[in-house]
Amino acid sequence: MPFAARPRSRLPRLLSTTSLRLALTFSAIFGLGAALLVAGIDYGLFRFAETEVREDLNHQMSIMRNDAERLGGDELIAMLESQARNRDARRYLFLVVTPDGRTFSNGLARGAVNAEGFRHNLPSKPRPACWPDQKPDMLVLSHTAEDGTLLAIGRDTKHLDELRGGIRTFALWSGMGVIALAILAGLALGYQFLRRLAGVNRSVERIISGDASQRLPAIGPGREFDDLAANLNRMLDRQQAMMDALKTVSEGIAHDLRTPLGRLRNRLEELEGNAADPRKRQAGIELAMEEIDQITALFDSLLALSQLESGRPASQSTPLDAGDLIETVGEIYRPAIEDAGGTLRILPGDRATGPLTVHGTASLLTQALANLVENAMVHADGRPDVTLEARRRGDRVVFTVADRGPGIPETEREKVLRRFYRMDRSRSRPGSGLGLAMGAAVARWHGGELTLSDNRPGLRAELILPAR
Amino acid sequence: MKVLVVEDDPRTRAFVAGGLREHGHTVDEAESGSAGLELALLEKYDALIVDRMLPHCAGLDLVRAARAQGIETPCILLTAMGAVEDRVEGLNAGADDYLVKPFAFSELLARLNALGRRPPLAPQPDSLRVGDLEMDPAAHRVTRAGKAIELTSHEFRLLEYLVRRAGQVVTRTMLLEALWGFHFDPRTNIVDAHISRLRAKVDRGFDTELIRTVRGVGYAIRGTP
Repeated sequence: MPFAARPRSRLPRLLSTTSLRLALTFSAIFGLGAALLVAGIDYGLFRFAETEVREDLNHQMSIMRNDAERLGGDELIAMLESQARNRDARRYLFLVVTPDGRTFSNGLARGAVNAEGFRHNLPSKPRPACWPDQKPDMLVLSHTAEDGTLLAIGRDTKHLDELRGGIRTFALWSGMGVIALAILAGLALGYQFLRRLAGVNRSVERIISGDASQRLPAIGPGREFDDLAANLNRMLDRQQAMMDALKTVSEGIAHDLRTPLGRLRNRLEELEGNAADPRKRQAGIELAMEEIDQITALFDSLLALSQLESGRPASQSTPLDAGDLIETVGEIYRPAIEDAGGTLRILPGDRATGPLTVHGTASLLTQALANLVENAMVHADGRPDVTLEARRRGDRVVFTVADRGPGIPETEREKVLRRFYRMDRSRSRPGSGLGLAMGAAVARWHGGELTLSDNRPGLRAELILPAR
Repeated sequence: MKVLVVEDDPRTRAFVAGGLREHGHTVDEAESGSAGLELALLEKYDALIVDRMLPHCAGLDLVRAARAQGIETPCILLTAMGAVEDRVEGLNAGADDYLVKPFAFSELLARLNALGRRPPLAPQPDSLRVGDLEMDPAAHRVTRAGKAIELTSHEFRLLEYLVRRAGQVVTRTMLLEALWGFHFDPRTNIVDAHISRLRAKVDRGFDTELIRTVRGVGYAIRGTP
């Protein structure tokens, strides 16, 4: 099993697959974007919260200044002490120092306070272990009244820091989760893709090792990949059709060469025995040369046919009158047909239904028509009765070669247009098996077609070309 | 005739040159295009027989170069490429005739003779004569021993082709190509059928047969036995 080693080597290959790399790239881009977003939120939130705290402290300070002016430092301290148990008051840390040294503090140290204005402070209490940094987490506003009393209000900003920390932690973990998910998804897609590709590769290996009927499975997951596989399969179909055609041709050549070569050998053997008789020797040599000429003619036809089919332009195309062509070919064959006891009718066409002009190469059309006429002559049982006709049919010009011979059964009509295809009963007749193939190739080369139908009785071959 | 044979395959060269010498021609041989061109420029030949595929200088280039140097010697190209456009290319390069390999030596000889006697741009005489046969191409009239013979246009062209080459062998392939533009071998004996029609009109009822069959090669028209 040449494929047994493949799955084991798939993991390292998996890490280099396109889908994984894509997943990694996208998750990196996503992570960067998310980090920027989180930083933006973080900054905005902090600014908003700090502004709110400052305003709150200003507000509280104005209340306390009023109280201090109205009550005086001692009364203020007494009031604060009475409020110390109040729940709301515990949000704030106060420090009041009268000029004579009386002090109220619920946790705000003297050293943490300016004489005037805001000040960020280091923690006044031990911080929780999970947030051990040294960032200031208290904002203090202080004011020195006219009588020298120092007023200070502090507010803990730890909740803000905790909120920011929470956002950061959430962003970190969720970001890591998303990236992990993207990598997993990329690996899974890559694995699936690789597995399908492995299937494709197996099919390709089978095709390489000679299984011409093998086709590629769908690659997936995208339609583009399936289209690719379908297109490759269509290419393979076409290749196989061409290979089949080539095989038919090679077999045809092998077979059709075997016959004249065998006869040639027989002639030469006879010649060897008849070497003494000059008349028999001469006749034998002539027969042998005829066989060689037949082989040469076969190769000429094959060459002409493949040049036609490869679309190589022959000599220049010119406007030609179908009636004239039919008439010329007919008159060339008339003596031979009449010598064989047959009849030839030529109907060079009625120009009233439209001009019979085609655009083409006279030598090719002549050869195609000659092949059709010769078919009619060679396959006639007895006397060949041939009708040649040129006619306008819509925007086409139709050359018809009809005979009253045995015809071709409907099931065989398509096959006889192939190279070297010969019906069993025609094998004994002269011919290369290329005449109709040549006619069809000439028709295609001119943008037309060759059709065969029943002439009741006989065969009706129509070379149909676009009219000019 | 003095003939130059330019062919790189030694066996084909020996076959062609030997055959021509047997028929009384003087033959020079060259095995490459450049050597052939040198000889063609130095010597005066009556005909060139040039293989199309040659080492150093292809046959077509040889012909083109010779024509460019003002050498008008008739030239037959030999080739394995027999498609119509290959022939056209060869003739356009300045060759006078074209023979596809494999060929019968008699075919080559017939074509060579036809070339050798082709008068360079001779004015066409009003009437052609072979023995007691007289034909006037312009008036489309044929008489034999003073008796008018009715011919179809196909028959007339065939007879004219033969009469213009009176005394020479004309092969079936030459007739197919020149008269009908057939560049392929028909499976049926169309040439022979046309000739027998022509014979029936030209030779039947007369003492001497003008149209002769040359076995295995073709036909010739001769006024003298």
